Amino acid sequence: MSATTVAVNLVPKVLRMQEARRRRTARWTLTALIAALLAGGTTLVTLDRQASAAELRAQQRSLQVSLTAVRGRLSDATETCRRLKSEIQRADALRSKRCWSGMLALLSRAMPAETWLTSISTEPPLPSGAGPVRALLPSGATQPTTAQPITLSAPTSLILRGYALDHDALYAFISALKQSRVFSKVELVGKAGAEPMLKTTAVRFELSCTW
Amino acid sequence: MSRRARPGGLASGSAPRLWPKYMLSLIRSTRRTAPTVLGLDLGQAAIRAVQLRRAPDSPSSAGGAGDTQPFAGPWMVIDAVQWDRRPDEPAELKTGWSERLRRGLRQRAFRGRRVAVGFSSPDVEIHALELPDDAAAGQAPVVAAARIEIERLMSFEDGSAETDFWRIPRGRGTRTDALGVAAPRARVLEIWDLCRRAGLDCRRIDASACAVARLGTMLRFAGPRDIWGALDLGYRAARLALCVDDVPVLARAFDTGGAKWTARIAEGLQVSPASAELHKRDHGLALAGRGLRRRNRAAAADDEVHAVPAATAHVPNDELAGMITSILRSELDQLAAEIERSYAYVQQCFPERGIGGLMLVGGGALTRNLEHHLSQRLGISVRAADGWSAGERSALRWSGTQRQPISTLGVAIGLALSEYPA
Repeated sequence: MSATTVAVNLVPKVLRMQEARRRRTARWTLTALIAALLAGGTTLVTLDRQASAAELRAQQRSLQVSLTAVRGRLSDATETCRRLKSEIQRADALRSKRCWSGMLALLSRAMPAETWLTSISTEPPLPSGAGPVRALLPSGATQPTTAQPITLSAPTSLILRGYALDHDALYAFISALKQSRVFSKVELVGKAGAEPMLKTTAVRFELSCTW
Repeated sequence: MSRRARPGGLASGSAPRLWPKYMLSLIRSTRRTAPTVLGLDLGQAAIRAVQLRRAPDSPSSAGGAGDTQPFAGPWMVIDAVQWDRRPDEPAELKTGWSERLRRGLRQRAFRGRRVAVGFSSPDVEIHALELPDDAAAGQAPVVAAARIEIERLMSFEDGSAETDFWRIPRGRGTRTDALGVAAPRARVLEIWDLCRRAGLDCRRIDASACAVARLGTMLRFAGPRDIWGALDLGYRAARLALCVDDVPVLARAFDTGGAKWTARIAEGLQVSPASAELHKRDHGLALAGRGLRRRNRAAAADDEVHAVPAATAHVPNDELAGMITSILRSELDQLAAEIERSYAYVQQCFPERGIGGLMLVGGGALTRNLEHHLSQRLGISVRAADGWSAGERSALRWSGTQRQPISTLGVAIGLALSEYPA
């Protein structure tokens, strides 16, 4: 059998063409309408997004200005805080300094004639945290780029080394130091041993006087 | 390393390449199962509307390569509706019908607004034409020649009719190679306006002979090399279309039909036309005890296959059926004689072809035992169209639980197929 079937159409050709034209017009109109709607919708969405983006950009600009101001204030506050800390530390260090002339006078008063000192030092020997001052300066630099705060820890004890002609003189010296009430603790470090000194013997000692 | 398809799946690399194929297949499937146009049969007794679509399980071609059976099914009836008209209503569909159609169709499951309307005798005249070959003369001159020839033959006034024609295979001893159709322009425009007012898009006004030919083709009514026919027993007239392959090669109208039969029964039995209509359908015709007058082997074998079991066969031997048969005898004999004459003519034109049978459609096909009566009278296989719409292998299925006689909807079904690619 053939795949074509018989059919006639008695609708006048003019009407058929009119109807086909109307359908085409309707189809194109619908297509154009849909396209316009899609395009319009897309444009509206784009415009809306652009407006939102512009608003957000304005907000961002104002926030950035605020942020810069806040950062400036924070920097100032940080600097002030650092300066104050440094001053506080300096004040603490200054507060913990001893009157060394008075200290030497005290030692002179307390020391018997049969006793002499070979060295006086503090413990610790240098202020802790201060470090060597030269290490803070970069090589070739005339002055530090930024002010570095110096933290000084005051010495906690005084180390006295020396000799006594006998043990009695040594004990008298210790007693005198204790009686001065300047130190909270005076103790003999190590063993005091007799050593030949010139044509006689002397007792070598090391005292730790803690404030 | 060879690429292997996963079991039950696709190789990942081949999937993108196969997408176009799947999309094409999906589009083809969607188009294949798209609804047909609405077939609108504007009859005198009733207006019927049918819409179909191909069933999803229908093959893409009927039987594989080389077999291009038109309208290969199965088909699903999306919806079908019938509005009865009053007997005294004029043939013209005047005011009210457009609105009734608009509302009625909107309430149903029909899809789309496209309709194909059918015209049948006496609204349409069909004449045999002798036309030059399209290839030799060109299409436009042939169309003009056909119009002139149809206007010469038709009974309508010159210039007052719309015409069209279809080609038919040229038979032996005849020069007829086309059948021309003519319908009054006023009637065509009336239907056109009716459709416009009803919100419908009238795509085609077709001849019912073509519609029943499409129905018979869809139902595979006859063998591929047989001459087969469709008898539309309408309210005003009976129309016979004899077909070769799927082409109607002879179309005739007889001055008999359901209305005339009902009137005769009412007159003969002294009952009202409504009672006569009921008697016609319930009791029908009495079968004569005599054997078949003439049978060919194909028809006999076909009858054996479709034979009704004796226990269930309704043979109205009652007196009422006998009386109705007597009343209608002259009409039936005349009709059978005309059918026989028509078959003889076509068989003479196409002697190499066998006789394939006759399919009954229209309201008159519901007359009980008419098919058996005509089969006995003609000696060929005669069955109503409903015989092909039953069973699982039917080419036509109903959606849901609705069922209506295919015989009465035959023309509308054929019209629904008119705008569908075969």
